[in-house]
Amino acid sequence: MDKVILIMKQHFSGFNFAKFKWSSLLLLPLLLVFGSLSAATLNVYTYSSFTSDWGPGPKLKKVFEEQCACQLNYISSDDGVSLLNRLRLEGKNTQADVVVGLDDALMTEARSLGLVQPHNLALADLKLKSELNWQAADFVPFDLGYFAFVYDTEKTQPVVSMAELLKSDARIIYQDPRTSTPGQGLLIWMQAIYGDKADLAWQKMRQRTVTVTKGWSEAYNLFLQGEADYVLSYSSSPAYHLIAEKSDRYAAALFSEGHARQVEVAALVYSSKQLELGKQFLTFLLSEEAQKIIAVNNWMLPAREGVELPKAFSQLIQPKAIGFTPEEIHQNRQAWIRQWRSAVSR
Amino acid sequence: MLKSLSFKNLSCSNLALGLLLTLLLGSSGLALLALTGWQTAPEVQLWQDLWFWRVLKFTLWQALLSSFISVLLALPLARALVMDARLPAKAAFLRWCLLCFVMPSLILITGLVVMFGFSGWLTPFLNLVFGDGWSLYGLTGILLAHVFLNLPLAIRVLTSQWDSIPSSVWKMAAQLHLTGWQRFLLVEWPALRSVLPALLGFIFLLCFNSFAVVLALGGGPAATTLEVAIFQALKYNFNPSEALFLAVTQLLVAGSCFWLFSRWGKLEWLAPASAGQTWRPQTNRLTLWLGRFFYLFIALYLTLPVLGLLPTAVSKGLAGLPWLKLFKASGWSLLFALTASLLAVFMALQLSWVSSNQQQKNGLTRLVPVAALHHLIIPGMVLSVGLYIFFMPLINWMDWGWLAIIWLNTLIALPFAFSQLKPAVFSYQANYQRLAASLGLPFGVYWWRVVLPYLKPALQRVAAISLVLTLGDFAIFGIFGQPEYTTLPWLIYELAGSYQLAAAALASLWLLGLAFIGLILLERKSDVKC
Repeated sequence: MDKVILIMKQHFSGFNFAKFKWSSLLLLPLLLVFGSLSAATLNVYTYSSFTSDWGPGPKLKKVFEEQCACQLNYISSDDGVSLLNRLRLEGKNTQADVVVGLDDALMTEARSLGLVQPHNLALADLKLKSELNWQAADFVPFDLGYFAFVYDTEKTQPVVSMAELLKSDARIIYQDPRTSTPGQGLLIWMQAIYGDKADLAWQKMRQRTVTVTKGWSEAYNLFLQGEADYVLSYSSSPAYHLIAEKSDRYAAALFSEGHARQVEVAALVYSSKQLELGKQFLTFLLSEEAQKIIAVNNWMLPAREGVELPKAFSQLIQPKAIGFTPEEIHQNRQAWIRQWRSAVSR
Repeated sequence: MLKSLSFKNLSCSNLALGLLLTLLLGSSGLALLALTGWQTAPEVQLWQDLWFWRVLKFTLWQALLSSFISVLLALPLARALVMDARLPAKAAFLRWCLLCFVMPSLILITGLVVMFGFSGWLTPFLNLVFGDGWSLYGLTGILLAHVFLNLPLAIRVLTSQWDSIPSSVWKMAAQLHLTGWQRFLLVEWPALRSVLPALLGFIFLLCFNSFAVVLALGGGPAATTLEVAIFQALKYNFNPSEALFLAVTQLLVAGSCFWLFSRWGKLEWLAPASAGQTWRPQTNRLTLWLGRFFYLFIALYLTLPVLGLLPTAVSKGLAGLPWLKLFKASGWSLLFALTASLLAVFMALQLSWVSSNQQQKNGLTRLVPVAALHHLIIPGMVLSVGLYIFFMPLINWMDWGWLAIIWLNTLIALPFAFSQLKPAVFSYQANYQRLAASLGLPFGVYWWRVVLPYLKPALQRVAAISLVLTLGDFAIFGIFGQPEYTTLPWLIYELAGSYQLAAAALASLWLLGLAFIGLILLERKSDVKC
């Protein structure tokens, strides 16, 4: 003990205390600047409803920043498809470290453009749902949902199939497949049901359509204002009304043909220097806590097995999944969009 | 000494002029080069796509309908304005017309959604009339907006045309006891005939190149115009070669229309309406009252969508509105618009100075009018897409988009600024140049004390209209803009798109206020003239 004091005395003898104070005052702001710089920043590109006040983004940021001694910085685009376009345009100059919110239908395209890099995570440790049968070495899934038409139970007697919907005189709102991932989901769904005859089905859809919106939120808002009988959304959307509004007024229609499934994915951007931090974030996204936040804020189903959810989620419809592999979608996407475009234009 | 100095000045100014001309012609040159397939080949197979022809057909159809409806509605109203001495608030109405014509279209779009949208004020009534089938989105909305924006132009042009018939001619017609129909054929029709083709053509062209209205009110893929299809090909589909093919089509159609229409005559729409009391013949009571009713109807149509913004803006209280976003967007909008319009005015001044200077005619100065005016033929969207694709592999538009926004807005405002400034500069040089030169004033004093005061009214007018034009820009920002510096029109589009109508109405009113300030400057000066 005495020894320590002795060493300290020796150390400080001959030290000019006045000078010390000065220099420390000068250094203080510098230290602060370096301090904040040295706390690493992770730039996450995502879509805007993810980062909005009511979305999962802010809550995830808070929890993650407590664990990582870093700064999480969201940069948002309108929606999933424009997210991909932005990455593609920025090329080598992108600031993105992680991209969150592409989906399985865009995965192959992003990969073939060389926008992402392998995550080197052991998939077995992530406890992913077995129905996903996840193999990808670059993307990890963070939630999933089934596209479905949502209706107002007080006004509408639901149809039980897509065929019946197209035959009915219902008013429908859906999203543009070129900008919005639900719109793209409907494209895949229609192809899966009708194949070669999809253009005829689209022509019938055109006669039922009130409007085609650019994004999901415009469409859903219009529907809630009573402008349509059905809106294209997710099978899990009614959970929002059950939990946040304590209302069972809105429900999703279960179609006998089956429903197209969307898996939302995240990946490390190929030019990122923050690999460790990025990997930590991807692992975090699949943690039980983050999965719960995502489910009750993004209103999607968890990608992880055994996440405990509010009771409302068990009241949702359980659709049968139909669709295509990401590779098939990648190869046909442009042709399908053209077919849709011709069929719905007059 | 003096000689060597002026020679040095001359070569210096030649250098500057050469640089400016290179920039102006180079921008369009590179854009056109991109269109011919310099880097990405245009997707020619689109010729065989039925969709392409449908888009082209719809683009032409809506433009044709818009121009004819605008002119047909304007004819009886303009006549009533001229013949009926007792119509109230004529001068104010004509001024409002000018504001409507240059109004940033996003303001109107919000106004129309408030009035005619899904939960609009007039929608329950319209549902009664149209049997629940009323929808703003689609051709209806496009026509409502296009007629709103262009009817005022037609009214102003036709009113001034009818007004130009001298009292003596009216009196003679009365002395000859011409019937109303004979008078129309012999007196009025000849005055109108000379402007009608150009007027129809000009409105057709404006609607052919319309972007914001169709994007916001088209309601999806069923009602798409070429300009919107270009934007969607690039921004939704990321398909540059398709965008290029559509842009070539747009350029060919719009360019040849412009070339054709400009040969049909020139329109004078900025000329202030005369408030002079000249002799007019009596009109019969029925025509008189029909005219008055029509005046009221059009006045309501032209004001209600804008007036409706005010109660909508304050309907939810002022607390929940995105003030910060609004201020940021206003800042960016003003920064872009002020820089672009100042640049346009400076360049227009220099170019018109050089091109009206009789003493120094050389190859360069002959190029000046071409360089200043040729952007009229190239639609802004085509120019933007061409440059965007040309420079895409070379620079990162995420970093340099702001520069393109300023420069392209300058180019869009330049033809207008040049054609408005040139007569004033020409008359200065013809009348005062020699006199002023004989005073031997220092360069700075000469410009500050002699030239600028003379040109001030013209400069003010040009600056004001350029500012309003660039404030309303939607297409150029659509291609080059980034969410980090969203401008007011795009903020309004986003707010109206997500049905935050109160916030959209507030932002629209705010933009209208900014445009109005610009126009007050304009109208104050031109009133002095009449």
